[in-house]
Amino acid sequence: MNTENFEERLRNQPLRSIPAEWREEILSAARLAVTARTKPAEHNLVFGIVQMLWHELIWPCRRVWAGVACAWLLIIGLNMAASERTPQVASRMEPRSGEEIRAFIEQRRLLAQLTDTLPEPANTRRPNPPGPRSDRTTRISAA
Amino acid sequence: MHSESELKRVYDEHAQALFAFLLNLTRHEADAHDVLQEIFLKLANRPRLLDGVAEPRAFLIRLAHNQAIDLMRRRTTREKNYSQLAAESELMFSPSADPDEAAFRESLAEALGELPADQRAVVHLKLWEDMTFEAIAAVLEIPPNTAASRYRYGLDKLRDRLRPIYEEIK
Repeated sequence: MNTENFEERLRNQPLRSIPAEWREEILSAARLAVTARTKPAEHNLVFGIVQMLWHELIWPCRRVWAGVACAWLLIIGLNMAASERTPQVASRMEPRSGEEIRAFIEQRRLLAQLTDTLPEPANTRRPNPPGPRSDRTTRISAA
Repeated sequence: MHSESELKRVYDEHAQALFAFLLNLTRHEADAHDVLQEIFLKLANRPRLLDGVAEPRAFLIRLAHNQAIDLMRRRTTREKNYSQLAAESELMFSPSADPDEAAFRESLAEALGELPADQRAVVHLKLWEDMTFEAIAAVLEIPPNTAASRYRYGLDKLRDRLRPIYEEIK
């Protein structure tokens, strides 16, 4: 088998054509890359971080995050409802009359007098704790 | 490279050659597609990649070769036997209506699949890209003598493998 003929024979084998549909696929993927590249870098960075957080942090545990969000909404709702109720309660209270205020002042004065006249509280100091056992033995023998 | 039209031009000029080379090297159409797509994404992301390149075809083949080798290494670690996969011949040549020709092309595709990837790359570039050993050496980052010896060994194996069918057809 002649080498040159063999090489020529191989060289003449027509190679398979590239599938026609690849052109659009590959070029559209490249087009997307070009579009992404031409956007402002900062926007890309922020978008990239948000996207990364969404994909890495939020999306894998979406049910947990949804539960946490519901709990927070509930807490906020309850908090708002409570804060709305407080002024209503206060507003429902009737203003005190002058007589009531005077009675209250009189009560305060009496209380002050009583506390002044009360004797000093008894000495509540606890007795000294017993000393060491060796001291006690000495005391017993001395007695 | 500045625009989409430039990418289209590069595709129209070089994609066929890159596809044939990648299909021969990886022996897997999906892998050839992936590597080709990676190359064009790289070109889209780095618009100045081909600026000042004297031989864009050689540059792109070098890029394709490196990407394909990476892919094959990854696959070798992932899958047990890539060479077995290489032996399963994808349709590498255009189909022929002549049964003798069709049988020869099928045998040639199988024989190419049995060559080691480094010999296969050199044989492909020499036979179907008509590159010199110096050019092949530059693309594959090997000495020209190595390129020549790989070609010789590869061609000898192909000749031995195809001798029966070649003689029969002749």
